[in-house]
Amino acid sequence: MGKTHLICESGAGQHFSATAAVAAKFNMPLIGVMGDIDIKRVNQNIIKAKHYGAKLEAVPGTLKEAITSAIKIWSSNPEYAYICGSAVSSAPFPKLVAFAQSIIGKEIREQSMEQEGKIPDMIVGCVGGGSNFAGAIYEFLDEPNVKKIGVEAAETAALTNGTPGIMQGMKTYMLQTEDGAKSLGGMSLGAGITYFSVGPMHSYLKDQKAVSYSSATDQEMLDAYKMIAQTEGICSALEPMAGAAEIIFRQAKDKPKDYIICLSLCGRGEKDLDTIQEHIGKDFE
Amino acid sequence: LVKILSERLDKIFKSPTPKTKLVSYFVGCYPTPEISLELIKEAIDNGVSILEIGYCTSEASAEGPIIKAAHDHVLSNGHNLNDIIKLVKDIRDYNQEVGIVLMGYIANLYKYPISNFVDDIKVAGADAVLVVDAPHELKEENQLREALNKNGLSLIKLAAPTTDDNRLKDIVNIASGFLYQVNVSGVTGVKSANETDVTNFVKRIRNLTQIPICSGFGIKSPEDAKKMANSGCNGVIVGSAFVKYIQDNIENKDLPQSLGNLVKNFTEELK
Repeated sequence: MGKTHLICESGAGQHFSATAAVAAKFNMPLIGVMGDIDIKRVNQNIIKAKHYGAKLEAVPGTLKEAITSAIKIWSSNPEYAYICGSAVSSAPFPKLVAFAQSIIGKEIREQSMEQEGKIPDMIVGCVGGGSNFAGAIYEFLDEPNVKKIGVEAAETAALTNGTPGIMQGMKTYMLQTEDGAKSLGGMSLGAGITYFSVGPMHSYLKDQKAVSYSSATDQEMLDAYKMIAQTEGICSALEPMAGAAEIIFRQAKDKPKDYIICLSLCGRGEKDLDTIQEHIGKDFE
Repeated sequence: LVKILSERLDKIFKSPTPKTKLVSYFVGCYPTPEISLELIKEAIDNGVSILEIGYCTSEASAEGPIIKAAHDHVLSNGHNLNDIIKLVKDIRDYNQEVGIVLMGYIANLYKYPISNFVDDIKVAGADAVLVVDAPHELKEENQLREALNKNGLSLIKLAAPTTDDNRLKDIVNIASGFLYQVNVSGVTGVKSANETDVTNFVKRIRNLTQIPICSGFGIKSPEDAKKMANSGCNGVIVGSAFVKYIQDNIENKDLPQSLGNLVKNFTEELK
């Protein structure tokens, strides 16, 4: 492609640190664009990215602002390749990212067959832009018997509360003012799922009724985190705890023992420990 | 072959004077609807040939910091596309010769929706629309272009330095009014245009079409405008320089008059 530099955006910082590792390996300079609110709360991932030699570009805001800014820097520098971090923005990014992430679904199939002798009855994942969940279900899109549920943050639930619109190079559900002039949306504890819109593939799958979408609140995510930590010994990132909340508090309640629910546990928990400590530290310890 | 759709734009480019047309971008309703109209009237009185009236979007992906700040100001004051169309009507009532292009992003038009938008701007007296983030592969671009062309209005298309010849051919085939030649890779109001690059780019476009070419991005001073006018383009587009002047002098009571003087400094170089 003749590109000499890399640019990416990130919400949770996970994509930034992963891209930074690739940039280090291939000896290419990388700029990672992140919102200042996220930079504060996912510091661990940023430290890692910096150790790999990447440069951080801070913009006021969260993932939404980081994407708009990354698009601007990219269009200003034709020598940069944009490594888009979610299944969002204009073609071919949603397709590329969903395809790259589809390794998750392939592994789900393989491991589930190996360990349980059948594929899961249900796959659940959190959705911000929707890349990890797209990857988890990609492999199973032709299998209607596998129920699929994507879970957004309640504060930015574009698929539950949004309307169709066109912004950031994609036509998809989004939270915006009625006249389309302004993007909207609040703040979730999960940096990676604080996003006013969602990848267009998920809007299509919602309209086709092939996948269900719901949302979880901050409190539900924290409660799910506690339970997963104490019963599984897993320090999960907060984002997939939106999916865990949907399973624990809603889906799993009426399911038989042999019903297999697979939760895509994306990201890593260390980055959120400060946030978690701040919110439930005292009662939890 | 040049498609002639907007008669007013056609008349402007067929007129021998001024030699190079000044196309000026203003953020509609900035800083207020009333002052915005006064600023634009002064621009018209000082020789602007075509006005680009920007309507605002929060995720405007081609705007540098100057125009972004103006967009945010207008959005936080609650002015929307309806107010901008009202402004267009007021401008048209004031002057019947100046070209008026509505410029912005597809987000607002999609929600308006597109068919009503074209009807409303035609009544208001606009000549054309420029949508920064609507390439011709987009269904909504096709709908907009069709509706505009049916009504004798133009969809202004952009060509960037990164647009290769194959794509350029597709673009000039559907272009009308004029072609917006983007001088630099990037957002508004940051980089400066390079005379040689611009001249070569104008030649590259001229090989394919006779449509009027207006050269924009990176033209910050009357001297820049004069240099770019030598590139063979038919018009030069100045945006961020005017918006910045308005920002810097927002408290000044004589702002409309002093902006008029600034516009005159540009048009004097383009006669």
